Amino acid sequence: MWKNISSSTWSPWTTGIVLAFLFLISLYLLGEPAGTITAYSELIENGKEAINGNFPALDWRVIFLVGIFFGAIIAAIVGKNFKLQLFPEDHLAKGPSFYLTLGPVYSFLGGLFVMAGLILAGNSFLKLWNDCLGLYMIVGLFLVIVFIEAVIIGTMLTLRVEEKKKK
Amino acid sequence: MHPLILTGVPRIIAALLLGLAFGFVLQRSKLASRKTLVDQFSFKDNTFAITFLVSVAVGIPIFYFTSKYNIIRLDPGSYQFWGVVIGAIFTGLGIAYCGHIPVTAIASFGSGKLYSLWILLGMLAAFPLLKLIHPIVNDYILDKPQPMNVNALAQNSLFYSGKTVMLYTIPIVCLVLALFLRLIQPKSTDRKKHSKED
Repeated sequence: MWKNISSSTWSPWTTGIVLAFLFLISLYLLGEPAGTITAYSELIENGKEAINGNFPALDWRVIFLVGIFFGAIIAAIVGKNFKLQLFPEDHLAKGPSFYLTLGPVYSFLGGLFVMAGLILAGNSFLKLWNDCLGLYMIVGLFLVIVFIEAVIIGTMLTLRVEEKKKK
Repeated sequence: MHPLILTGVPRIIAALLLGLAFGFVLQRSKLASRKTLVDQFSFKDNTFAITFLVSVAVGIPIFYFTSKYNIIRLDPGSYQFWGVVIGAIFTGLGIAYCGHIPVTAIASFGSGKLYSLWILLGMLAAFPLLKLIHPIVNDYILDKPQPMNVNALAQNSLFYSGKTVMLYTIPIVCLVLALFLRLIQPKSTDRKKHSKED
């Protein structure tokens, strides 16, 4: 069973059920969903303290993020697909003039926009996902806008890449 | 029955274990892969949407009954209409470009995708930047008159407004949508092939 869990790719059906239960366990054990936006600002504060030579106080929110990092490492190692990769495949396909210059800029700006949007919206994606299970309709509005916009921009980007390939 | 709400060291251990579980699940399900989210928005691979819809379909009845019997406490926090709308526009744009949400970026970095560091740095840079432009954000977005009281709307989850019909309707709609997305998924994005590519 462990071999199945650790080495095969989980189906989205299993993943969806497991995630719903993880959200529930988090609410039961901690009284609030894990992975809120505060965790990331705490991470910055902890980083500042570490730079100043002080040992940062352990915050459960930051520990949760550390847990995600190590959980992914464990999963990749036991699944035998841990591979260091410097550039994404789709960036590599566009050549060195892209993946050495524009690629990292796109990634950085993408990350900046994602987090800026989440700060404006009021919380992290995980918390919004969690609120969705509580049927809070305002979260539904957020997710619908994100999805529609990402589909439009994603399709435009894909079409551009395919046009370039044809040329 | 009440939520456990651990404190002190047990809370930190619980958070660590939950983080490990989330990281493990995200990596094994390929949600931590940039390709999964990028392909989602061009409907080449519907893994992310199916996962989300299944979690909602399963989570809604579980959340309803556990909150009804006080096993968990639901708190939506505070939302502002324009903050949510403009935040969603920014987030959608960002996801289309970087192919990650914060947790998947962390899990992706953990599974050896070093390029996710750029995404994570961008995400962390958003905090000082937003702090810097806080007065502008307040004036033009958050302090704008809201077309509706979203917090009242948020506090009144459909669970509490007595519309328990939603308890069955929304999960069924989510499952039907998930099945539909699975059916329209191109065969070329077979999970095994995807796994090899990743």
